[in-house]
Amino acid sequence: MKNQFKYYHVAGITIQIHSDYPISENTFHPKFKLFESNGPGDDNIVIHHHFYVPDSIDQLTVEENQIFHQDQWKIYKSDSSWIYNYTPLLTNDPGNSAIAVFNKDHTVVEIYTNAISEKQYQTACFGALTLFNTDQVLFAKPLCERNGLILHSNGFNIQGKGILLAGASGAGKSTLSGMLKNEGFEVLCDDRMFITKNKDGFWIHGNWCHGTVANVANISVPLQTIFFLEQAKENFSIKLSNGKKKSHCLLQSLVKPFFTSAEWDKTFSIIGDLVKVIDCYTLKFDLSGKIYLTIKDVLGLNQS
Amino acid sequence: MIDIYSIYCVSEDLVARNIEGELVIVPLSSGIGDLTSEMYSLNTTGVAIWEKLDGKKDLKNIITQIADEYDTSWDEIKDDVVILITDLVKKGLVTKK
Repeated sequence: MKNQFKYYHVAGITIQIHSDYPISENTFHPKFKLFESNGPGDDNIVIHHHFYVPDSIDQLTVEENQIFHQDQWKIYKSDSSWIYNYTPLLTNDPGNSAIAVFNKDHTVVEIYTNAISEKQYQTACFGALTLFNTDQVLFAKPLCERNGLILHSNGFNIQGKGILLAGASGAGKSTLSGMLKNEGFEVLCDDRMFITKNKDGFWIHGNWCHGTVANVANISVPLQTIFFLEQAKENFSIKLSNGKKKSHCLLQSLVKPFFTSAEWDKTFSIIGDLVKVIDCYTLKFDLSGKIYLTIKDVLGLNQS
Repeated sequence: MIDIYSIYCVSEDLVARNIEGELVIVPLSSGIGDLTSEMYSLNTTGVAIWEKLDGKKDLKNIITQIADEYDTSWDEIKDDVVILITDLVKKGLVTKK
């Protein structure tokens, strides 16, 4: 029997892919291999790939259901579903023309496209399981439901301690990632970090929504410290003791999806908890590559 | 033009939450917080004004209350209130009753 099922595990959630076409070794980007699992888990999101667009889509994508239209995205909301219509505008767009119909809690996703043949599907090397340019829409609501959120940041594991480096575009996240990787810091993701809160505290999770670093680690580690980056002429850190400043910095880095009032309330509650329990620092760094020493010092790690 | 003898109230189409003294506001459209819309935050004086916009008191009353609480001149508070309310009305976060 041809393989029409695939399973991936991330942040405690198993993503099940059921496809109308056979799935080959080259259907998805090699980065997904790190996240493969053998079967369904305790907590699942099911994605179906269909290679046609049903007529019933027209009833869902009526104008009164449209809540957003910008660039490649048209988003609709009906009583029981969310519909994301993605149309690439540029020839080099890694995303594909497709329509995703999510159920209310985003645990079942029907993806429809008539832009991909069976032959293309075998070798497509898709960078996102949704077939879009990113899987961010796949995770935002389920993470919120599971006491989590997504921060625009880079995440690392160093000796079992999780750290996040957050900063605006151009703040030096990619530069710093390269420096830290050379010093043995394990990269969890270099663009979108998944954070969840459970009875043991906050955890950060390796995931495939990354930027330039292809080899990320599929692990979850306790979140110890968040650093907000600023390039400088020397390396040093300043602890943020002001809760207002901490929340301000966190909100600046928050990935903001389409949320209902209740979901925003929950997200703000998580931000409030992060402010209370996680140490935050402004991290000023130069290009000498020695910033890892400052980070290790903050984390209380032996520098020998 | 802001009329201090009028009542202004907070729009129903938003989520506001005080996190460690910072009031964060997300405007909602059709009940959904838009991923491209800005989040707004208010400073301490702004929070004090915002929390008094209960749809019952006019701005003159609010200015008097805040001037008393902060032991600051009425005119100074009036300027702050008018500037803030003008901005909030412009952003659709506050409406005249």
